Amino acid sequence: MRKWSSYHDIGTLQDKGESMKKWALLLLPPFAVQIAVLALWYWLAAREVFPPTILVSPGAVLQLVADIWGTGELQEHLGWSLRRVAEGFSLGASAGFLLGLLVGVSPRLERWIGPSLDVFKQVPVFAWAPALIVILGIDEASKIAFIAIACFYPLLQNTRQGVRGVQRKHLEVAQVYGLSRWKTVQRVVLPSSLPPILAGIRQSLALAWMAVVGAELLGAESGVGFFMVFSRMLFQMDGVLAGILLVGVVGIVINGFLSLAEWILVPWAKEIAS
Amino acid sequence: MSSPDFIRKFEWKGWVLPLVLLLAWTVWTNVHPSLLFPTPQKTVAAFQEYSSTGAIWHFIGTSLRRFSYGFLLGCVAGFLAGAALGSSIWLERFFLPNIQAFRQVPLVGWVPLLVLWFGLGDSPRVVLIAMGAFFPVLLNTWAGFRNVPRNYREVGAAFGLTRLQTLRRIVLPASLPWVRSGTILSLTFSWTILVASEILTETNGGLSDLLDLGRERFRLELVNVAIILLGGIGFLMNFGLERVWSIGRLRWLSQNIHNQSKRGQTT
Repeated sequence: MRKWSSYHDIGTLQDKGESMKKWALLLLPPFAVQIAVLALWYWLAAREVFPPTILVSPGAVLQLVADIWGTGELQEHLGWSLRRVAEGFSLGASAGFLLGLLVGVSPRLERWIGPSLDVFKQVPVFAWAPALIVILGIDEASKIAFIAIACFYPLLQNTRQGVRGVQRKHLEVAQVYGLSRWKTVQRVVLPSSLPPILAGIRQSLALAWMAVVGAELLGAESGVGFFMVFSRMLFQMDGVLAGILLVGVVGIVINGFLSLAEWILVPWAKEIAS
Repeated sequence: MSSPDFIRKFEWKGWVLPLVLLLAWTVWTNVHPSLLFPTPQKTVAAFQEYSSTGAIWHFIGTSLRRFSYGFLLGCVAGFLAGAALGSSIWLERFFLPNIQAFRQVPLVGWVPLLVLWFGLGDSPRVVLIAMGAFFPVLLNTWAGFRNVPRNYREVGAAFGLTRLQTLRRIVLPASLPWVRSGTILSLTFSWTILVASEILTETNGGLSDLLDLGRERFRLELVNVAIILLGGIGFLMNFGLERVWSIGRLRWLSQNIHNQSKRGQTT
């Protein structure tokens, strides 16, 4: 019979050589693809198949990244973007978490406000941006509010469903032990809904990172998104690609950290984390 | 993700808060007139103003056209790629980790690049929307193919099915629940991406024109109209897609849960 799972049984292998082979199989093929893509990119750029406004060599992109790192421009833009994400995320995610917890714990609240929450969720996040800009101004406040809205729903939804999905028998055990409402939430509800909450945090942060780039593309004087839109207006392809590289690396790092957190905090919930 | 419960099962309690909010909006904005918060009457009037000239139907049509091209393109490509990765362990080894990493680049980050590559027409938007639809369908299709219960395959082997027959008779039907949730996730996400792609690129013609006009001319009632339309159309499409997945045999196939704990995992 053919073997269908490739990753999950690494830990259970006894034979050392066999495990080395597994790791090699896990790491080498994707690496080979990356090398191939880079080689193709180099080749296309070196032969100047496309004009430099369409494609520049990876070397030029890395050179630019090194340059703006040297001048401190990169750190400054990245710092601005990350600060906005931190502010917007802490606002939106905590609001989403609290509301999700309340709605999840209380079926009565769910009946009264649940449908309204579902309706507002249907509005695409970016549709709020122009109104926010008019009401709060083009500066920081509107960006932070925008990021907060983007963070709000994933965490709300995941917390709500996670809390509602707590197993009945666990709640009954809490009842048998005579735990108060708050103690039940603290000891039973929160720990067992931690996997979906963490998944919600991960989705929220990914959306926040997208929202900040979007907000900065829309109108800003700082931040990674601003750097990209500025480069585009000057038709500087290396700047645009460096921006995508930066934005992508930060996205991967954020996701990596959260995967690590999930792996440490809720190792039993592997398949939910995907 | 799915249509709100109060549509399927009428519950009057769910309607109270929206009605209270509507009432509060009406009273407040009429008592304290402000440019920032236009009244519901003004919003309705703005809708009539644009719908009487037919402009609004044009906006909606343009947005829907872009969206449907991008969405269909992304779904088909995502399904094919997911099926390929799900059928071949080698393709999975080579490409899946890279796809997972690539997916972490926020989609709107591609906008400047796509505009430089594809110009200012509709193509950069369609490509972006297709990218938005691509990943959820790909990952869910892949997961569906990987999670076909082993005993289903064994039955196929016992009947001596060829590879193609196994694919058609066993793997495809068994992975439909995943494909279904992939397309539903994709729909919501790429509808968001449509709006992003419209407001982040200059020449337009879609529904986001209303958002831009509202902002430039300081007419927030236009923004209201756009928000309501975007939310409403998104909701209707969601509803429609779930309907499509309920036609005939698809209903049973796509909602038959083979492995509940792992279903619909990938976002």
